Amino acid sequence: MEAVRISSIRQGMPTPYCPGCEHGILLKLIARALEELGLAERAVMVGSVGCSSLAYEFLDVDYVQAPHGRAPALMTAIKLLEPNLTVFSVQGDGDAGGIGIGELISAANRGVPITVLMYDNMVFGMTGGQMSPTTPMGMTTTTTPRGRGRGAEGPPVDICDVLSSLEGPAYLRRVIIAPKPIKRGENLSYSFKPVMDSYRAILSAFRAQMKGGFSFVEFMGTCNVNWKMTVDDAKVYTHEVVSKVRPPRLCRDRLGVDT
Amino acid sequence: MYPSIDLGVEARSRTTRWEVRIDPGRCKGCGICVAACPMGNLRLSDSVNGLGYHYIEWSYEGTVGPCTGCTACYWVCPEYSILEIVEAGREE
Amino acid sequence: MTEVEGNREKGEGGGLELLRGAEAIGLAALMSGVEAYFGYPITPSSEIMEFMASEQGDPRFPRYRAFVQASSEVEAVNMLMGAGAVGHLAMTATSGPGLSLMAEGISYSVGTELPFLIVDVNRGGPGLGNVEPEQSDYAFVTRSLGHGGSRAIVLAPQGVEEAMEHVNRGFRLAFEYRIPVVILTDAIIVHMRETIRIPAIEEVRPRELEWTARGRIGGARHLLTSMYLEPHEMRSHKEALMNKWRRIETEVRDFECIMCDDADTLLIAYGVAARKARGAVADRRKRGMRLGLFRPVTLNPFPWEELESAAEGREVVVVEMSEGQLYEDVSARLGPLVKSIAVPGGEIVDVEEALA
Repeated sequence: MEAVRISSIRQGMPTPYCPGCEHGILLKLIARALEELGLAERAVMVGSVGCSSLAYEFLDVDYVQAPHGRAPALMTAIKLLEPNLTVFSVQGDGDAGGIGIGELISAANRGVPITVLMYDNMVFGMTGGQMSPTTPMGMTTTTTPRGRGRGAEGPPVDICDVLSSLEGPAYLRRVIIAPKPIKRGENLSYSFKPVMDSYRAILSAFRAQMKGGFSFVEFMGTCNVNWKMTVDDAKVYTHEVVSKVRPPRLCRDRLGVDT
Repeated sequence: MYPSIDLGVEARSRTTRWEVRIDPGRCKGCGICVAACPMGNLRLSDSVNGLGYHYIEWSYEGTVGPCTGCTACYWVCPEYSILEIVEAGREE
Repeated sequence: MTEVEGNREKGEGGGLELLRGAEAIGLAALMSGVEAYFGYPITPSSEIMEFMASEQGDPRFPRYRAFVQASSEVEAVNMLMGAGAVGHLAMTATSGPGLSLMAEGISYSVGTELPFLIVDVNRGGPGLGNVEPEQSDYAFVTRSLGHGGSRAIVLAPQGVEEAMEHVNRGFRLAFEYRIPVVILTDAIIVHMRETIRIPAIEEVRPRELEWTARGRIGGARHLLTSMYLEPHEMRSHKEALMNKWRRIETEVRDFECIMCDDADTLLIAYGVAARKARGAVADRRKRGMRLGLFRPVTLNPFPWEELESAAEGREVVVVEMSEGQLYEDVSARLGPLVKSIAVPGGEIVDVEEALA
């Protein structure tokens, strides 16, 4: 494999994420995609609040921090005024799907060519594992100690589905980014196919922006620390349980950019 | 540009000697690459790095066979501790 | 009206025009080179947004190229942040309930040091209130517009002409000091029509934009954030912000003194209350009573030193269309003998009657 010199990863810095979290994989893929598409020099990342807010410590691109959930509003203005920039955000499921869902829906339906990359681990990670809008029914979190659905929570939201109800967005996709546990003989091994699927989704999302459309990708990942599981169990949970309620899906590809 | 995504590892060119370049200082010992590697080339060291984690070590000869350059470890690493997979030379 | 002292200059402008406040404000923004308007309808400010919507594509103002009616004031202020982050001139107009929603974004922008302009058209409050004019946003916009020590520059025009000048000045100040600027008007100023002389308005072309996030382009990346996790980093940052504010206090504060020198009684008023107070001053002077008016033009920074020296030895009466917000600040400075004419609710204060 040819080494791709990834200029957008800050040298020598470990990520601020917990061991086993796929945030680091996502950021690595973003950096590589920017490099492959030649967009790194004119890229602007708009921030969020939560674990995804720490992305600027790892990714070496221009960064504007936004309040919780508001990134799509900043990105809209930035893109309208500087259309040659590649404008994207890395947001969590709480950031984009809860407090920020109004801004996300408005921006998506306006169709301004920006890219929202949502890392969905179905909890609020940074603040210690509270329920998020995408937490599945029955899952235990610090604010659903007896499992979601026993109180006034209601069922979870399928963000990709919500955006699919709008005419404006051009590219909507959900992938699983967690490496897939497989058996090799007696031992547990991992397939990196989900990582490659995620990489292709990122490339497609940026291509959609280059072609003038709004793009959104939901990456189903793990939060083994807040789910109170081992790294392996968390990945098994994602692929065996979560994938049934949130199957990977290409929800929309109006511009034909998906690979 | 990017490698094949076959789940199992097909035998690749046995005349290429691959090398995996690692930055052990970034490793957090999550072990995913160890499990992802089909040829058993990776193991967590007994020593710890500056962050306090048992970091990853790679050898060309693995427990199953020589490194095939499948790049699984590169893709699954969340820390960018596996930097690149390069051709280190050819062997007969 | 005899002429004024103070540090305000009148430059050469245009001819006489009959303009409504809302249109004048929009026109001043366009002449200043505004590039984006991100707004949300709220009485009594919506006319400003509607004017800006109709001005899209006006060939006289090619820099103006983005108009968005946002889904809420929250979205609008965050769009202003985005525009500021890439160094482009952007503005909005709102009223009390909307400004409350913008407080988060303004605090972030003060911390990140981003420039943009907000016109607040003060209506009755708190809460839904009413749509009559009040001066009840004073405390909100001056004391701390947002959490954590957030402080914005506040200009308070007394009419349509000065509102235009303040819009121009506001954009310049916003970019010079990298800070949000609020123009505090009210329902009367925005809706009244006045024959005015178009003030001299200079197009604002910010020069120092190396800090903006327009891409790495061969250099180091730009980081625009208000987050400083380490205490010592936050301390340095806050000290820098305070030093900047001290500079703003020195360089930006502005006031007008009408017949203060020989006054027995000094009125203190801003905005539309000051227009009424001027009338009272003129009237009483005709009757031989020596009334004067001290009018702060910037409410934040407030010209306290100048007020204290103008008030010395005089009876002081604060005139405002609120429950007494300005009076609280002035009496805290000048002492308990300060009097208050405070008319909240939307009725226009009748200064003459109140003084009698």
